[in-house]
Amino acid sequence: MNIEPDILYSYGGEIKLYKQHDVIYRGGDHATFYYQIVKGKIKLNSYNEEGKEFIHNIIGEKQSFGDAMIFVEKFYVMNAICLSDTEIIKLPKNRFIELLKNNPEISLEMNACLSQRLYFKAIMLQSMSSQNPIVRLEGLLNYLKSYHEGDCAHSFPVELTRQQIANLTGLRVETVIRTLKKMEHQGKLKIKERKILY
Amino acid sequence: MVIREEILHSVGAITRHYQPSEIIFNEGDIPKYYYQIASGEAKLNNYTDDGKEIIQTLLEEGQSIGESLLFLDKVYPISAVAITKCSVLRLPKSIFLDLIKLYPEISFNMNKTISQKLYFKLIMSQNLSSQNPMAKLKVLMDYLKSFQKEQSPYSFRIPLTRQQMASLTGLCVETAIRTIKMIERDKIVKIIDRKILY
Repeated sequence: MNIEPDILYSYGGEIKLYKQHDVIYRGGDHATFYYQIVKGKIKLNSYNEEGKEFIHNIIGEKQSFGDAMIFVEKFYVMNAICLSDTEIIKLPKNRFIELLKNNPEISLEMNACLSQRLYFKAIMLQSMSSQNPIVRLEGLLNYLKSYHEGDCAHSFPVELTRQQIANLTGLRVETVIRTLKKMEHQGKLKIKERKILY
Repeated sequence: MVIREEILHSVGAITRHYQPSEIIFNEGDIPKYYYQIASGEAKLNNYTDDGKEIIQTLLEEGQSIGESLLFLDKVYPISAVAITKCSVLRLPKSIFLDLIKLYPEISFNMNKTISQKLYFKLIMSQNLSSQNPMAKLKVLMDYLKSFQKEQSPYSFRIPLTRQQMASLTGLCVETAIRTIKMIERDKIVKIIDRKILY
């Protein structure tokens, strides 16, 4: 979701600066703000019972995060942590809801945006239950890509390490490396200086 | 209830009746209608390439079915199937979208509904990469119980069959059954007449 910053300011949105590694919120916190990144990058992560880190997504400029939790009376499921120095517009939850009520077209866009995430999450869930590593990786990559605008082939740089991809898909890191190479041969992605372009 | 039934009727929704396991729409169909359950239960599912059923969502009275696809230009990534006898209100997509534009509060409710479903997906996809069947079932049961007022032990009857619990967590049904017995021994659940109390 990307709301015009001026609208956010007019409802009381404020810029907040975070340093690299700062925690914006933790899993278990209540959602009290709408967050939209102006500059910088954050990750959404969680840890499993053995303490292994799962990075669920990396969010960049002009993107919002954690907004679904504003509508759900539940705690955050993940942590939001800055990967670089980050500038974020923060808008209190009740003001955000007011903004939506006064601007039906934004609420409508919000529906489309949430629907898009739900769509790719559903596909990812299906592919994660597959035994075929290519299906699993494609499910994850399509989901990650869905957060970014611009659909042209091989344009989306995947910001996760092989190990992080392995954690997210439940594959071993060796399998991820082998499968990515296979997908490169099939023309499904490009690898440049170890960076994956999907 | 997502949209009041009087409103749906007043703009021309019709009621359709489905028998248990009858299909409401199929994976790959083009979304043409808004569906809302007037009575009964349904599920959204798809299958892995090796034929295992994945239940993506369980739906009950008052909930909408696959509404998020009406905001996207995509075919259904899932099928909707009646679990019990169902009456479903059906409204053409174009009228639904007009309704949403005309009534901001319906659009806002839709933000909530889709967020709720996204929240469930977030929890379930975190769950899929876990290797531990006990942890998987516990996450599912905690999620279901989190909507109950009464939170004391064994106060909540899990409203799912063993097969449904397995299909929601990506486990084989045999593993689910074995694990449920194990957590009964650990006094996490009680089983009375095959019903699971958590």
